[in-house]
Amino acid sequence: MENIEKIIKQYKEKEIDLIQVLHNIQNDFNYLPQDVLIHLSKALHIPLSRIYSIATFYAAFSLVPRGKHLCTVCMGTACHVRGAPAVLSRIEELLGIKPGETTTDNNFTLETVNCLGACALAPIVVIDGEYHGQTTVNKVDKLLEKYVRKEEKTKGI
Amino acid sequence: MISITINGKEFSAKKGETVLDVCRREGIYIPTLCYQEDLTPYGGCRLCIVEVEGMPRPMTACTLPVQEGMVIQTDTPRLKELRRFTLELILSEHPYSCLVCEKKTDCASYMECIEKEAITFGCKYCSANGNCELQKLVEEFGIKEIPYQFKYRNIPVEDYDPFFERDYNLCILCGRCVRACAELRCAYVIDFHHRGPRTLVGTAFNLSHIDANCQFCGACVDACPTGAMRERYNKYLGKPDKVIKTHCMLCSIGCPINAETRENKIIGTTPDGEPLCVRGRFGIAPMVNHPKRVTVPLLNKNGQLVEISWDDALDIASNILKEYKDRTGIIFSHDLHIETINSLSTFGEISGIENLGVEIQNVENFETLCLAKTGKKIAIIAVNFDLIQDFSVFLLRIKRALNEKPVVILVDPIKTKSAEIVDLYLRPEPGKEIEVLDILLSEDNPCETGGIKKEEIVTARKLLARREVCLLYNPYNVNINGLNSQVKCYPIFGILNFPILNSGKLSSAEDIFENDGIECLYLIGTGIPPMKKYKKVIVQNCFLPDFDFDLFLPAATFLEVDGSFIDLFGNEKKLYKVCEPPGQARADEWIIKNIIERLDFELPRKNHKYHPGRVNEKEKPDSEYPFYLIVRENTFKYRGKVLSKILTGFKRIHHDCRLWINPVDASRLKVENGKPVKVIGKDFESVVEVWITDNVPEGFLFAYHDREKGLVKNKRVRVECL
Repeated sequence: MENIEKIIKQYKEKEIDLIQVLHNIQNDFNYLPQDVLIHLSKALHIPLSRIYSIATFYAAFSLVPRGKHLCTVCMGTACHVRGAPAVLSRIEELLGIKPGETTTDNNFTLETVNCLGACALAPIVVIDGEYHGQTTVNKVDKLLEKYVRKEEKTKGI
Repeated sequence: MISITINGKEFSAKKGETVLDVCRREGIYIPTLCYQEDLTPYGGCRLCIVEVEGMPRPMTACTLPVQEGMVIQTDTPRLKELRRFTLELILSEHPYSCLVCEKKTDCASYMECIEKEAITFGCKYCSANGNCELQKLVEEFGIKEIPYQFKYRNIPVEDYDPFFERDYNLCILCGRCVRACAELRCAYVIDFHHRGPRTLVGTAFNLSHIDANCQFCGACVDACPTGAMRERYNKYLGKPDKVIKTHCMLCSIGCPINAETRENKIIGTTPDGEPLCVRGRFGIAPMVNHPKRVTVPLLNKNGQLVEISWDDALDIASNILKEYKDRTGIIFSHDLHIETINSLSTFGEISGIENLGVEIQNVENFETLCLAKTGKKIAIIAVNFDLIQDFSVFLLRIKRALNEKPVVILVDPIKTKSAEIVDLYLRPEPGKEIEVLDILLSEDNPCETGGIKKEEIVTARKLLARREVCLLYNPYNVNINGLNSQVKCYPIFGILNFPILNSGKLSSAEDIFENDGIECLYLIGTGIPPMKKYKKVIVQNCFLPDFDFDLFLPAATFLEVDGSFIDLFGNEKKLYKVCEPPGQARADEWIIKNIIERLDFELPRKNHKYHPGRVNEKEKPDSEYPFYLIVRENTFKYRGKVLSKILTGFKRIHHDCRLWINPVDASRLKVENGKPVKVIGKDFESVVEVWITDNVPEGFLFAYHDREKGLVKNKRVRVECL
């Protein structure tokens, strides 16, 4: 809650956009919790319906908790023709979730986007903001394994 | 002046007008769906497209400002084709099959074929059938077939809120409801959420409208061009066959309404130029047509109520009044017509009944509020009343009159709905309101007073700076006589006809009750129970009272009689007869006139005695009575009947039949939400349902004025679980 007060203060002083405030909150919480948005609406005198409208409009915002690692698969035209559906279904198989879902251990969230604007690298998979171009089903296996290992290490297995 | 050419004819237009404005004014037809006169243009439905010379593609007329020398075509074959295409696309997501069925004209009277459509695919069973703007456009464009596959969105119908239901499967996303909620009401309850094909209208986090703080004013329902939003009460009552302009009498503001009738029965009320609140929009028709309304004269024969004829009833009434002449007390309600009040004073003169009392409290130094432009910027301080719940249209009226949003500060120990809407909410300790106001309005150094922090006073003073301060208060809830500051004070309350009733010539209801010489009561339009045993009680009202009586005379409501009343601003408002009174109910005036005719005695008129209203002195804390009960005026009433007691919707949005208690006190006493408890004071005892809320401070209880339950003034009480 301390962080929110800081974010709100920033908003009032520098007059940054509501969208930026939401980004800041999402960075802190990994998603947009309902009670935080209600608090925000009261503090900034912005109707809750308007905040909810903006939060649901942009795919970048999530109203449900997301996993530690965000895995985004581009499904744009270029990626699509170069094999993105196969890559996506492989990832679905590996993680056991569908796009928009989070694994039960809260480690991975899978999402799809319509275009990342880097069609030369198609098909693209982005994990935690890192772009991996020209992926194939085999490459995806290795890529994900790296992250799964990392998680296991932190758990001390 | 700008001159433009529309369809080859020249017109002059003002700067800032849109092409659609000019066309509407000049009677040039352009179809629209998302346009509503009092809302900002949206350009969403794309039906109002026009061709402008020099522009590469058609423009939406509703968002296109006029420019000098514009040459506009509104009805070319290309535009017709485009509009038709757009409407077909809109219909591909709105159940349409009955709209375009070739047998639809005959289907209304008899079903000629056996091909039945599912309810979800057509308008045969849609509540907006006949009122739907889409239906009219389909008719106009002559659409016989939609070339696209229909997509049913399968959204569950939202039927859990009182007053209106929402079926967003019928929504065409024109955004009129969203803009009406934001622009007309400043309520911001609904907005669009999600995007693209998943776009929907709804509240934040899909909360129910009650939880989203909806005022249930119905602005969204009135704005909807389809059947997506629909009033529950008249959902299947059909189209009105007559609309009569009159005024709402359910509170002292007296908003103009359009009363819609069908077959001489009121089926609904809609706003007439001015915004309405929940009472005027959703309360009138259900109340007037309420199944519990009594429409025959009733006589109490040894505890049995028997129906009698008017002749008998009037004879019995006049005989009782003859017998008890000067031992009779008349108590009437403030919300009668002026004509009835006048005939009552004549009645008093002729019959010699001098004990004429009205159910109000006298207010001294009364000044009516004038909403005329002052030229200055205004700041409003509202003290001890719920500006939003009780008078939701009041702020909107001020805003409209001043053409700007005034600063509003609320000072109230009870946290009401208004607290979240005002610019600043100050919550003083109960009883310290005047101290806080004095500090707030003085030039002294700010200091902590009555539970208000120094910083809050500083913020409030900043808001008030360089503005003309108006203090609005409810004289029933707070006594501002002790206020030292020089500030314009206006009393705001739910009493109608106040200038007539406050003249000092009339006694109050208490005076009548305290007069031991009175043995017979004649109650007109009030639900006020007798405080002691009377030999005879005559009641003249719309609903049966909760106490014993000897004779009941069924009265008409304000929709069934011509008349007038005086509103809060001192203006006389006319009331017109919208429908006939049901059954044998009669106008108050008619009843009184007929009783007078049957009274054949005359007595010299005596002067009325005027008793000044008593000031409630605050009692000291007492271990036997640990709670201090705060009682406030209930403005959700008509002729003494609390709306929540007859209409369930009001009970759900307004906790006016409940005792508000702080969660801390509640857990200490182990009372549960919604359960009845016993409230015991020195002079009364009653059972009330509790509502646990931190809107009321610890050690205090809150309730709306309810004479039947003995909740009449602030006093010390104790609470016992049942």
